Amino acid sequence: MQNWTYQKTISTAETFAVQYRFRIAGPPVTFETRSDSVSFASTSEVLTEYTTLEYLDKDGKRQVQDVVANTISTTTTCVGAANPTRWKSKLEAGSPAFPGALLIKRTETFNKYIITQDGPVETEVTTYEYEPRISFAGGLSIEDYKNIDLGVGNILLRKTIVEKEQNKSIDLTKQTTVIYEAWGATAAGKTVAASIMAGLKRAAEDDRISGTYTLVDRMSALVCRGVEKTINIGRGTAPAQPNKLDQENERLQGAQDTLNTKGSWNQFGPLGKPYESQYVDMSFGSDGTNSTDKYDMQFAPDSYLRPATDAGDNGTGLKYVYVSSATAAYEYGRAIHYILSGMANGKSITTELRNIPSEPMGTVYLEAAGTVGRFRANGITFAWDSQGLVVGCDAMLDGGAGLVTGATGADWFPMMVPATNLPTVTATVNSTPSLANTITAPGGFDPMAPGNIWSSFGTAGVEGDVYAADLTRASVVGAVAENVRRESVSRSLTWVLEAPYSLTATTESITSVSVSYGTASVVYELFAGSGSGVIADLSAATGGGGGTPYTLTGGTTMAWPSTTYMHGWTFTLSAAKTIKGVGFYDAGQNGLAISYSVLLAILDPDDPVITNPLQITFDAAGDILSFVVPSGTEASLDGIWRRVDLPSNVPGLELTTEYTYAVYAHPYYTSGSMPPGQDSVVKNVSALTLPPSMAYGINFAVRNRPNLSVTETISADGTAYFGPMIFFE
Amino acid sequence: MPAAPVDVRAQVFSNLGPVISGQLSDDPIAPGVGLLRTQGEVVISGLIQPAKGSELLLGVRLPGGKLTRFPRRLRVIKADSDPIENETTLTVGCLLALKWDLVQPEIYYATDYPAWTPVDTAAGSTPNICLLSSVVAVALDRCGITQATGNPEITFAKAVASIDLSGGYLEIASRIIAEAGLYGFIDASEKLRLRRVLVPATKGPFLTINELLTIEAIGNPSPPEEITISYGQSIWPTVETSPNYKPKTPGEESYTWNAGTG
Repeated sequence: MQNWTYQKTISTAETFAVQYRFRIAGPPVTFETRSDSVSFASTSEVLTEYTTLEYLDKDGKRQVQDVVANTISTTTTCVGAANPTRWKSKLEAGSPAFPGALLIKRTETFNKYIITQDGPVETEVTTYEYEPRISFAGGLSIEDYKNIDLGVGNILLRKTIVEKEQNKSIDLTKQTTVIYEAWGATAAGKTVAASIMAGLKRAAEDDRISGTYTLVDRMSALVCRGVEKTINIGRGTAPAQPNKLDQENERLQGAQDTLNTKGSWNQFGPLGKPYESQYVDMSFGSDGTNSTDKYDMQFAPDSYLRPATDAGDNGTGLKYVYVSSATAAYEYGRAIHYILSGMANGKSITTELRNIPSEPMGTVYLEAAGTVGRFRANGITFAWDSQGLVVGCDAMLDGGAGLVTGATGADWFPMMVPATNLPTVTATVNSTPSLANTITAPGGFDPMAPGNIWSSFGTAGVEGDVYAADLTRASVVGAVAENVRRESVSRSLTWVLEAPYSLTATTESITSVSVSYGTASVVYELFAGSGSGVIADLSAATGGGGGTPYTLTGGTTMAWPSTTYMHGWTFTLSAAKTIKGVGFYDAGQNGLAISYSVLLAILDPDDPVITNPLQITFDAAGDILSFVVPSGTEASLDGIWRRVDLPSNVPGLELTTEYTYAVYAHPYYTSGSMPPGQDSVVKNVSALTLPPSMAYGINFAVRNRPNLSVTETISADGTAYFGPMIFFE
Repeated sequence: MPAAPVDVRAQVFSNLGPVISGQLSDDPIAPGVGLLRTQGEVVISGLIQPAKGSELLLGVRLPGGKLTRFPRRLRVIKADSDPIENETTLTVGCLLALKWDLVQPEIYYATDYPAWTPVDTAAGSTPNICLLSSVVAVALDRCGITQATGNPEITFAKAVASIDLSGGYLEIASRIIAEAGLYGFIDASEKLRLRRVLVPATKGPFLTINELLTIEAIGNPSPPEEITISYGQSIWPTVETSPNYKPKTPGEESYTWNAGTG
C-alpha cells in the first residue's frame, strides 16, 4: 500500500500585461510606449507522506497508527506575475524578460511525534516556505534590473517551528511558535532595502549591479520574528497566570509543608518541587519593565546523589552534588538577552572574504568616527559567481572596545558610558594577511582541475586567521545594565550571591566603566555562624528610623580569626536610593595598611554559588581592576571610614526596594597576612542607626578557601561587628 | 590605520566540477538554538549526480594567487541537474544540516549509560541519572558526528531516568547546548566545535568603513526589558534519603543562622 497521497490542481489561465517605455536611439532619441503580455495557468500540488508508528498501549499490547510525516506543497507561477517590475525593467533595457518562465514556490512541513501509551502525539511541526528569488526581489524596491539576473532558484522565505505540549491529567495544552523570516520579508527589512535601493539608483552602474545582488542576498538572511505562546486549559477559560507574589507564597507553603513532614531535621537539596515550574527574572530596563519575554528551559540541571570516590559526606560513602538550576537559568537568560540586544543594536555588513572570521560568531571590530565596537559575526553568508565572492554577516554588538589614537569619540552604538571615556586602542597591521588554511598555489595550478590540492590545506580554526588589521581586547564596555533578580523558593536563611553585580570605586583617574561577563572563578562558599545574641543587638538598633545616618555606638578593632574570610552585612530599603560611595574601616584612622575592595551584591535567596559573575569595575586603562579603596590615606577619612565616592562621569547605581542587598569587602583576611592596624570591621558595636528607610539585615562571613571547615565561626567570641560602609546620595 | 581596499575578486573551485555560482549561509544564533548549521546552493557546470552525503570540497583562489580552503565543510544534500543549461544545482550543507532531520523513536535511558554503579545504603540510594553531556554524545553518535577536542564541558545533569530523543537527535542536542550557554558548529576539521555565547574571542579583524561594501542596521526589534526563564527541577531520589544523612556541600541547608528575626 502506498504511503503517500497526491493532489494536483490546475487553475484557469490568466493573462498578465505590462506597459513600458522603449527608448529608440536617435538622433533624436525618442520614447515609445509599448506593451507586453503573457498568459499562464498556475498549478498547485500537494504531496503528503505518511509513516506508521508502533507503540504499546496501557495494557502492554502492540498497536500501530499511521500519522502524517511530511507535506510538500508547490505552487507554480510565472516570472511576469511574480515580479512585473522586473519584467518592465528588462523590456525597457531591451533585454529578454521571459515573463512566461516558470517559477515554483514550495512549502515543506515536517511533523514530529512522541510515543505514548495512548498513541503518537504530535509534538512539533516545522514548516519551511521557499520562494523564487525573482518573486522575493519583487518586494525589495528594485526598479532597475538591467544586467541583473537573479536566476530561478529559491530562497528560504520563512521557517516556522510549532512546538506542542500537552498534559492530559490537567487537560492542558501549550503551543510555542517560533518564526524565522527572511529579513526582506519583514517590514523592517523592506524599509532598509528601500533606503539602500534609493542610494544604489544614484550609484555607478557596476556598484548598482553588485549592490543589488548583495542586497538580495542579505535580505534573504533569516531573522527571528519572535516567539508566541498559547496555553489552553480544559474546557473552560484558562485562569490568569498567578502573579509573582502568589507563586512565591505557594512555594513557601510547599517548603514549609516539607519541613513539617520531615520534623526537626534539616531539609536539604534544592527545594523545588518535582516537575514544578520555577522561574528566574532578569531586568534590563532602567525605567521598569514594559516588555517581558518568557522562555522555557527544558534541561535545567538538577542536584543529585552519587557514590563518593572517598569517604563521602559525613562518612556515608555518598556525595551530594549540588547544581543550581536557578544559576543555570540565570546564565541562560543572560545569553538570550545578549543575543537579542546584540542583534537589535548590531550592523549588517558585507565585505570580502578575508575580513570575516572563518568561524561562526567570531569577533569583528568595527571602527567609525574613531570609536571601535566589538561585534560577533552572526549568520555569515557567502555569495559568489564569476565576478567574485562577497561575504556578509549580522555583526552583533558586544560592546565598546575603545578609541583610535587621536579620536575624540562619538557614540554610534549604545554603551553604558560616553564613547569619549573609552581607552585608546591600537590595531595591529599585518602585511601578509590570510585566513586559516591558506597556501601558496602550486605552479601550474588550474582551478578547473584542482586535482588533489585538498590534502595541502590545513584544518585550523579561527585562531589561524591573519587579518589585514586586527585588534585584541579582553573586555569591553557593555551596552546595557543588568539588574538581576532571581526568584525561587525562599528559605529561612539567606544565601549570598557572590558579586552578580559588584561595584567599586577608586580615586585613580577614572576614565571608563567596563562590564565583563567574567570568566575568572569567583566561587565562594557561604560560611555561616549562628549569632549568639550579637546579631540581635544590632537588629534591635535598626528599623530605619532616626535622622542621623549611621550612628554607631561603641566599637573596637577586631582581632581577626585565624582563617580566611570576607565579611559584610545585608540591608533592605523601603525607598529607592542611589549609591554615592563606599567606605572601609580604618583602625586608628592612620591609613589603610593595604587596599581593599568593597562590593555590592543582590542577595540570592536560593543559591549561594555563581561561577561567572557579572562585574562592573571602574577602570583607568581599559582592563579590569580590582575595585579598590586604596591603601594609605589616599582615600578621604569620613569618621572612621576611608571613603571613596563614585566618579561624576559614572552613572549612579540606584538600589530599589525589591531586593535584599549585601555589601562586603575583600581581599580576604588571613591571620598570616593581616596587616598591622587590624583594618577590617568594627568590633563590639552596641548600637547602630541607619539612614531613614534602610533596615539592617544580618552580618555574615564568606569563606574563601574550600578546604576550611564550615564549623568555624567568625562570631564565636560573641562580638558584634560592622562594616564595610555604604554611602547614599 | 592604513585602509586596505576591498577586493572581492576570487574564484571558487571544487572537487565535483567547475563552480558557476553559489551561496551559503550560517544559521543565525537565536534563543534556544545551540547548533548552527551552514546551508545553501552551489551551481556546478556539467551534469553530475553525487550521492547524498558525499563531500563537496571548496577552495578559493584569491587575488595574488593564494589558495584557501573555503571556511565551511560541506556535504551534498540534493542534486538537481539541468540538461538544457548543462549545469547541476547542489543543495549542500554541513554535517549538521545533512543529519538534522534524522529522527528515530529512541529513548535515552540512564541505566544504558551508567556513570556509576548504583549504591543503596542506609543514607540513601544513587540510581543513575541522565548526564546531559552523555545525552549529547549519544545524539551526535547517532548522526555520525564527532566532537572536537577541547570543547567546553556540559556539566549539567537531569535527575531523571530517561530522556526522549525521538524529537530529533540534533534538535535535542541543540537545545541542551543552547541552555548550557554554548553554541556549536562544524569546524574546518569537520568536527563539532563548541564555544561559549558570552565569551567572545578577544582577537578579530579590525574593519573601518573602507573595508566594507555595505553597513546597515540589522533592524531587529529592541530587546525586552525583562526576561523570565521558567524551568523545572527534578528531585530524585531525595525521598529515599535517610534523615541521618547530612551533606556538607553548599547545596545543603543545615546552617541555622538567620536574620535574627526569628
